[in-house]
Amino acid sequence: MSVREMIITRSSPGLGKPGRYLAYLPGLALLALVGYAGKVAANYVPHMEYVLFAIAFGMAITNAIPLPRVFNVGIRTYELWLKIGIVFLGSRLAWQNVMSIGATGLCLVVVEILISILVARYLAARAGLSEKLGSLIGVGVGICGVSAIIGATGAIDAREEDASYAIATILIFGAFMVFLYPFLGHLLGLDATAFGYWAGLSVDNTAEAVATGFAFSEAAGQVATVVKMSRNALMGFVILGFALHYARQGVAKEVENKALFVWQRFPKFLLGFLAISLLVSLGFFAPAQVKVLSNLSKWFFLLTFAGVGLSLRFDRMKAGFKPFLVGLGVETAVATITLLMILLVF
Amino acid sequence: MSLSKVKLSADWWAVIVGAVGIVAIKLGILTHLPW
Repeated sequence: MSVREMIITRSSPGLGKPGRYLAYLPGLALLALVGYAGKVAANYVPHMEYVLFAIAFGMAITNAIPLPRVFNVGIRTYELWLKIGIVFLGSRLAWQNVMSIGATGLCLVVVEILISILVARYLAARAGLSEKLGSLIGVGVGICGVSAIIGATGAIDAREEDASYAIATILIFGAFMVFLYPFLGHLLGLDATAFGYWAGLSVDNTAEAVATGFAFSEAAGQVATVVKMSRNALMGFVILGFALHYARQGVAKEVENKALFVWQRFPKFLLGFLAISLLVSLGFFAPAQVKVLSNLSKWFFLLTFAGVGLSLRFDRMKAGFKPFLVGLGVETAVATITLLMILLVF
Repeated sequence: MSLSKVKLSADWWAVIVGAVGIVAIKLGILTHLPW
């Protein structure tokens, strides 16, 4: 699968002519069906969140049955539903909590990103991989998974093959973590806050990080989302750092407008999330209205998690042995060090 | 269409849907949504 295909697969499509909306319907209906089946299944299994069922059902369907292409365009919208779900999630978190979690998260995130990039570059060099592939894996694990890799690929003029390997590596580990982390969290006796920080800091892709948090508990999911947003907010700065580094070496283009460069990579939906959190904290909504906002968030997340599962096609994830090993090393280092940081802080 | 434009579009659409949701709730159009 080429980077271009991955970009198209992972990105929310732009909204075009009215006629095109019909093309989204089959995939959207499948997202709703799979997500709702996960919600129903969770009612019958104690201590299991619907998130895991929605993802598992989606994965089972997409890997067992070759889905007709007519579903693809609708399934690809799940990142848009994720962003909308996060905007409405603002209603479930008081402004003070957002600021508190965000500030603590930001400090831990800086350490986590540095570890990730340094370990990835070191292991890539030891494995004989290109320096740029090491940087891409480091950026993917450290910040925002696929979005960060795509952003960095253009900024540092990396090879398409390197980006494909880095993205495949991130997706493989992301899928694995959604199921492994909640199990480990319960095994280690972590509380919702500590687990939320751990998932938000160390799970690679935004959808998977949010899913992992909510797979543990509602409270953990809220913390994981805010911490992951802190990571995403730093994406522009880290990619800018790499762009300047490679431009100085003469292997990438110069960055003309640094402020614009950072703004283009800033997750703007974060502004919507902050606005709703602030409005709720200021008492702009009645309790019943807050409940509706909160439920809207849950319904959009339901579509998202179904989309995460339906997009996990194992036959497309051919990372290559060495990039996979480097990814495994970086993931293990980041998961271990972030867990130790969290156990020390909380 | 460049990737940055695609991403910008999804980000801003999320903000727009959030704003529409707020207006609908304040106008009493969306008063009850079960989970």
